[in-house]
Amino acid sequence: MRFWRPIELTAAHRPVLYDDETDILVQNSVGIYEGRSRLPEYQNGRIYLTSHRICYVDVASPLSHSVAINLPEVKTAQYTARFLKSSPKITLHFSEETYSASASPVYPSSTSATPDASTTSLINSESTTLSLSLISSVAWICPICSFANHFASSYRPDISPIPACITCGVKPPEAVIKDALVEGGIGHGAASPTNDDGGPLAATDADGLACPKCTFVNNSALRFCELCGARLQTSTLNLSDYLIDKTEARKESYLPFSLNGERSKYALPIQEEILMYVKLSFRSGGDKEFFERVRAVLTDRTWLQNASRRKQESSIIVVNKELMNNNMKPEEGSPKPPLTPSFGIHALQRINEREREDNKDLMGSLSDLQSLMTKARGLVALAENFAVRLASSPGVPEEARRALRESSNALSLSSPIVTKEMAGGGNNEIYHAELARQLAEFLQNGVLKTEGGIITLFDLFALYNRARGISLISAKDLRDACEMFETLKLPFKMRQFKSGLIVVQEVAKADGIAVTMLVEWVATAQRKPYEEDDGVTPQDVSQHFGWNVGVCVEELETALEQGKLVSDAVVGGTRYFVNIITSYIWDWKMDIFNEKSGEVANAIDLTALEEELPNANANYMKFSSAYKSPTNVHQAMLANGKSLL
Amino acid sequence: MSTEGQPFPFPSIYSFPPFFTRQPNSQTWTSQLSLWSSLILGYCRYNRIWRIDLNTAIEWDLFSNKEINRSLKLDTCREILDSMVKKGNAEWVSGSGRDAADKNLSAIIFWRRPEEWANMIADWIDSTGQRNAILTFYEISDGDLSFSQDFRGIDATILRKALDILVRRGQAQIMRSADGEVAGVKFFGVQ
Repeated sequence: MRFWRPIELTAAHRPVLYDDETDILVQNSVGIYEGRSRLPEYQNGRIYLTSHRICYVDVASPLSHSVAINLPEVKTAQYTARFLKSSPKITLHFSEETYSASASPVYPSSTSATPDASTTSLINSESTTLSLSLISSVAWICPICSFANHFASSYRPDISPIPACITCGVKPPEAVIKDALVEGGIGHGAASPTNDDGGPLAATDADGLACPKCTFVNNSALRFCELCGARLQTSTLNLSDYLIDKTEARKESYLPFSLNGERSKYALPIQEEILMYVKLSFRSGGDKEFFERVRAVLTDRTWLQNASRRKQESSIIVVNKELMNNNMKPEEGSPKPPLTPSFGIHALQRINEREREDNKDLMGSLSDLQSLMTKARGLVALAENFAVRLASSPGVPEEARRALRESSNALSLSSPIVTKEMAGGGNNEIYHAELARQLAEFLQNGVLKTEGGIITLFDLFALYNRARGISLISAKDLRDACEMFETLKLPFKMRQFKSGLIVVQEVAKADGIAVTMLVEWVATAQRKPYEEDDGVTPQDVSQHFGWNVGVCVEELETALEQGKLVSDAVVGGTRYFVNIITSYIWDWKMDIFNEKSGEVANAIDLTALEEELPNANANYMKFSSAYKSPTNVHQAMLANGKSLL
Repeated sequence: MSTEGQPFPFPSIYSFPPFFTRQPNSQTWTSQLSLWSSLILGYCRYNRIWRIDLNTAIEWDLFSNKEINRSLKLDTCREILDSMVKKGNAEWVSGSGRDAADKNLSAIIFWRRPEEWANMIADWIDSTGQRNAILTFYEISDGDLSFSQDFRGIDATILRKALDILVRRGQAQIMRSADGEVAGVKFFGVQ
């Protein structure tokens, strides 16, 4: 695949986003195409539109079949409505120059396919300039005065500012320029210019090419119509495509080709296959909205906005870091150097300035809730910055670091929040599935650990909503999302106790494990002989395991029902003990009256209990050994009574 | 036999606080019932108690452990006695109370089964040479000859049950006075 590139996924099978990349929309049941060929193993997945990419996450095998395309490389998007049995599709055209310029370094396979890297880059740059030199022949129609303007030859799509109309001086909307470029073939992969030879590569007919405007059949060698000067729809052969695709499965269909420019003399009927576009096929709706959002993203160039902001922020952090640790090796951890070099007094001034702003932020944001909301982002950044500073400076107690880490965890989510608008067309199922995925990520980020592995639904509700900060979710949405954990094969599950209390816990942690842990701990916490305030309360359990008290009560009750613990109801509340009643054997006639009898209290099968209750069993062993000989009984009884006193 | 003056040697389970709470788990509860029943039987035999009246017995050290400040609830107590009644270790005495709540408050505890008592009395008759003699109930329970016997002070109801067994075996006969009241019992001895 040329355009689709493998991506990383989080544990909850959501794409790992870049810094400052944000989720925009998700849609289920989407298949992807490259060019015209349907990619057979990528036909049922979720498609994520983010500010930077369009990611495809396969449902069946997400780990191996998740790919993405980068939006900056996309030139235009086209929408094809449903037609008979064909699902609605969105076609994304790639701009050739950005693609070919960026493709070869990104592609790992291309290194093996290109023995001579310099050749490749040469060809690439050549084809880029060629395509650009043709831009002056493309015209755009001013929507105000309808004048057909020509692009300046220095115009670079996506880079140069939008030109103003020569006649009326009004800048057109970006879409107009883009449409014109597509029409002119600059953005259109199929209609890009020829290669270095300038030779007739695009001979689709033996006779020639029909002009799209005046229908005059031109010689196939020509690129512009002889009569009207319009651009001819020639197919091209992009050299870089060959280089990249050499290792791909489709290479067999290409004709022999070598790097030194010797080309086969045969015609190239497969050119149409090397189309510079990918298609998304929407099998269960949501296509229109997705298309609108894609168009909006392409127009807004969200990636640029985010990138510029990131640049600013990173430069500030770098400056701070450098000044803080003078002996730190320069630029080791930070990939980007600061935008402007900062040394001496200038740097100090900047630091001071920055600190003053931070203080202002802090003071201002805490004055009322409204301002806190508006400055939330800045504050989070400040907290993170502080965490970085704290982590790298020695002599800070571990506790403080941990506290800070936790608080900053609680302040923000690792990924942008999932909103209802994001899920295609307000579809509840998709929304809840996404919410469940984000919840899983949230829980995995240490939240569940601090809660002792079990969290009640209402605690989760509070924590998660606090982390969201804005556009809070309803309790019902949370519950619906949690119900999807198991169907989505996320490593969490919702569990309802008898009383109706609902908790979320790891799947790996079976219900029995918590009870076993609990019983073991209760056994160690017990004192012997027993005293009035002996036993374990739910509060004790809560302190030891870090669970919510409600969860503790439920777990204790479960253990109670299983007969592993016994309860002791007193005025102050219920206390819990390891069950020694079931395994307690007392032959009262023998003990007290030294009489033989067949009547043994509690004559039940002990072997079944031995494994379950090692402690209680040890207890029993103690008793039975003490009472083995009848003569001992009375003394033992008395001794026991004394020790109780 | 009984060690007078010495307090009843409670088993260690008596100091286990949850022992005084009715356990929700049925298996545990069965064990708990069985232990309690043993404890009550042992306690009653040790202290020669024939009847338990729950109104007062609930205050006994049998049902409340001052050391750990735990005591059995009346309902639980009744439940325990109920189970003992079902097993034949006790019997409710229909009290004077008219309503149901008042009813099962007093119980006779058979810390020996009536059959055992019957054997014991028959043995005692044999060993003391009272065969063919006629004895009043009082003479059996509180007479001079029965002073050191286990059935000394035996509850009239239990005694009657034991004697009934002997009658059925053909070892004794209930003697009635002219007005039909039970006056005494005649033993025939073991053939």
